[in-house]
Amino acid sequence: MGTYDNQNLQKIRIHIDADLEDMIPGYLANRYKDVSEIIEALALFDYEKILIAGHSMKGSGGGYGFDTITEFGAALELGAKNKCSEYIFQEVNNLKRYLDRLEISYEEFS
Amino acid sequence: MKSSVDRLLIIDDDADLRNLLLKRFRQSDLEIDEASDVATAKRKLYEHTYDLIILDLVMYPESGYTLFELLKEDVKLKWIPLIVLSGSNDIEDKVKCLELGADDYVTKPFQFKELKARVSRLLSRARQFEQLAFRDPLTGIYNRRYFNNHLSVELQRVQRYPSSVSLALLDIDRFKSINDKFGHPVGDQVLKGLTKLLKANLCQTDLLARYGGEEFIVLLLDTKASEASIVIDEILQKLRILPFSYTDQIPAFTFSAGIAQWEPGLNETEWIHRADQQLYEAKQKGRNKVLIWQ
Repeated sequence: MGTYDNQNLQKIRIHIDADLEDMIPGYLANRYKDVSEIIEALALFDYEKILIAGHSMKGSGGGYGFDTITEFGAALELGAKNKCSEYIFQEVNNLKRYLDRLEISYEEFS
Repeated sequence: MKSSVDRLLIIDDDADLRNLLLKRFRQSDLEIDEASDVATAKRKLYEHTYDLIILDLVMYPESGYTLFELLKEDVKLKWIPLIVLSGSNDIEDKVKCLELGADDYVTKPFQFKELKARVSRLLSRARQFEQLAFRDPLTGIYNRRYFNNHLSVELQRVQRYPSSVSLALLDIDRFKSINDKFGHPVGDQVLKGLTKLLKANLCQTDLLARYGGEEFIVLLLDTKASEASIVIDEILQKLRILPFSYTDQIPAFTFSAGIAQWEPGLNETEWIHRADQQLYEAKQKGRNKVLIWQ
């Protein structure tokens, strides 16, 4: 995963299926929760917890329309498998910045 | 009994993914149920009937693999199509799942459109399979194979949740003479006619099957032998009074029947044997009657 410039406040615009509009706030809130839990787990070297969170994100992100969350999930899962704290720390911070910059628009997909 | 709407069970420990699938599939006129872990899935699989299962492989605390043995060996569950939906792209996982009996393997992240197409194909194939494997082509009702399979399932249920369940075995009287005298096409009409009469007079929850040539079997749930006897005897009376008067191509005919109620400790073979013995007695005592195992 690439790094996100902390100072760059440019929004990341994502188009999501209007059918999922009611589910998106909850989904993104859960990702913020993941960020907190991963940081906590990292402090305890609880790689299994990070592995589970990363694996779930990898599985669900694309289905909701967030392919980048899937990529972050895969990266976190890999980091947890390799027990690489620095890499996980970098990726979870990038995930947080990505979430902060999201701007969602809803569209009717056929 | 199976409803006309297909019912899916989604087994996945990720609530976000389950919610997404529930929302998407509910827009597809399917009935959806969910389980967040293996233990819940096992309970639901025994309590309800499903037409397809979507199973996550990497779950905590118990892996999806632990369900495979149950899904592929249990008499009730082994015919249910199974799609593994997994975040594992490992070829070994894919091969293992297919070898263990999964019908399909879809990796996460997935396109819902593709998953839906795979679900539809499997459901459609399962319906065709059921038609070929479990239905009698002449009468359209279930055949002996399906009945025996279902009886095993029902026996498991009644052993777990005891209730009154009865079996009725029916045999058309002098069917060979009908065939010899009027020909096989008329014999076929007799079989279809009796099927129609039985279907019209049995409950939706009763399972009717063609058990052999001119033999039918009925499983009556929540029914004592005495109650089953009344039901079957009423059908026999209707047959006597209105011998298919809507068409003069079918000769008047009757049937004999034996009834046996399940008792604790009774297995399928002994249960059917009891009903069969009463059917034999009914034939011996002049046919055209219903007898109960006492």
